[in-house]
Amino acid sequence: MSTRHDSATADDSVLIRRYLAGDGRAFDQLMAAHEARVFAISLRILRDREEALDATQETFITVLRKAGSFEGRSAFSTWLYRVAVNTCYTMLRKKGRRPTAPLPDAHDPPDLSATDRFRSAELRPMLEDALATLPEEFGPAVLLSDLEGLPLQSVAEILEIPLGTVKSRVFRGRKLLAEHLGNLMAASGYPIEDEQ
Amino acid sequence: MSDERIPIDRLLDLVEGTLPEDEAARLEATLDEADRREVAVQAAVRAVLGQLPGPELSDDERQRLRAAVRAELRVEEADPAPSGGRSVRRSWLARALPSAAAAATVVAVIAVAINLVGGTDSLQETPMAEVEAAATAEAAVVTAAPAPAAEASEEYADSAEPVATVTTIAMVEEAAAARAVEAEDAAPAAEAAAEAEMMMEEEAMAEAPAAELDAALADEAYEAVQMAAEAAAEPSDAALLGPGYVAFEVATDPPEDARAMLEMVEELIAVVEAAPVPVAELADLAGEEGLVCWQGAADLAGADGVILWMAPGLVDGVAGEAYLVVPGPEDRPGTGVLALFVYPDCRAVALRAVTDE
Repeated sequence: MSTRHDSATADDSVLIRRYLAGDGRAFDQLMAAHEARVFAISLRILRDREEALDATQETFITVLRKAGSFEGRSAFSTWLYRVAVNTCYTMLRKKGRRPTAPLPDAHDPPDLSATDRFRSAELRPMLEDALATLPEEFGPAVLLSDLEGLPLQSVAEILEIPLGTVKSRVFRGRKLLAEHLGNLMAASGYPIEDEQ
Repeated sequence: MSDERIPIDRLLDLVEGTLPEDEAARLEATLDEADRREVAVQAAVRAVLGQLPGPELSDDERQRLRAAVRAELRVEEADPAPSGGRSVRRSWLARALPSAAAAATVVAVIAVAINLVGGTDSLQETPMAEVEAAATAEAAVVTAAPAPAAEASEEYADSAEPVATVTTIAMVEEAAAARAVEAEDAAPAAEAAAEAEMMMEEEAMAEAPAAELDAALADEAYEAVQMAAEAAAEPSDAALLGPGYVAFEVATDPPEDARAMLEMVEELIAVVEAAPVPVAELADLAGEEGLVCWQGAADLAGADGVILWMAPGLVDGVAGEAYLVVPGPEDRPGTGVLALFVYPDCRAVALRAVTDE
């Protein structure tokens, strides 16, 4: 299970050494390996494509500038995603805003016939909006765990918080999402918490 | 609520399927109706989010992104250049200062910071080799090709002009040496500068290994930085330096270890003098002011001549940063000091820059 992760980590270490030695192709490979996820994380936090690109750019610049001090104690990706999350929230704080979007009062799915309702173009914005309403305390944990599919232990390392705290944040974050998505989930046949 | 009966982390373990089978079965057997519903909701949200397709970079965005990062880091292009007509993204840092000047300044700061520290054996090994070899290269680049013209669309580019003084390591060292000679009690700094000059010649010829600072080095460097900070207590006097010189000095409050300091110094553009300021105040004021450019700082300065701004996270793993800019006097446009504070401890990196065109 961890083999792939370990292998990716080893690959990253090799790429970093090559990058530090001036190998331009290693730079491209490092970017190719991680840019999509860094961008995805950034966009989901910032909710603005240009800002997400800015954050992604800033993240890579920051991390690659310090690549010489990378000690390999944790995965390169862990470091990278940590910088990405921090960069995004710093940008948000700088602008004094939360990436919130008001949710509609009711969430009648416009495309109930869709085979996979949550891939439906109409529904995705609702989900993204619901995600954006999560407080900073819970958002990154849910994002990294459930959207990016990272193991909780990795999430703990990225966010630099104890595993137990990650679990608690993911749990509470999902619960908040469930509340936001109530009608949508009920209409889709998902169970819904009816208290609160 | 179910949370009170069964700890959240246990329920989550059940949802995640990370418990051994028998343990999961035992736990499931203890769930009441509310617990079961909670677990189901958790699993449902997890499943829904897991199905959500991730946003993707377009080819154009990808190319612009890579080109921007590559340009900022000066990475050689491995493949033929992407098709023309695309703009290169520029980060706020690049907007704040032309990158060549920034790089030279940063390297100069590192070199001088280490030079001022003086020569412990371990300091003279890998860090000096790395930093000074890089410094020589960077200085050469800047000397040969001064700060690249900023893109017309970037509002910050032109404003960075005053700080874009072409700086060579030799100039910086000379400045450091001049100040050291001038200060009666600055003998250690002058000695360090002279010694550093010799070391630089040797080290610039050596290979620059990508070695890491070890803990012992960090401790030594930290102590030395503290000593240098005391030695450099005299305020900088740029008037003595003549045109084109940039003086750096370690001033106050170095961070808790030299490793952290060096990392942060890498991020500085022109630098620092500062006393600790309450973090909360910095954050609030920075949010109100927004990002300002170097020259804009002078325009926005209040009666106290102080401008604050926040910058995107440059130091990983730290909650945030703020910069404190104090513009120089009116008859010295383009001069000033800039301090980096790192939350949550609000430590200032202790360097100062005064430019004199």
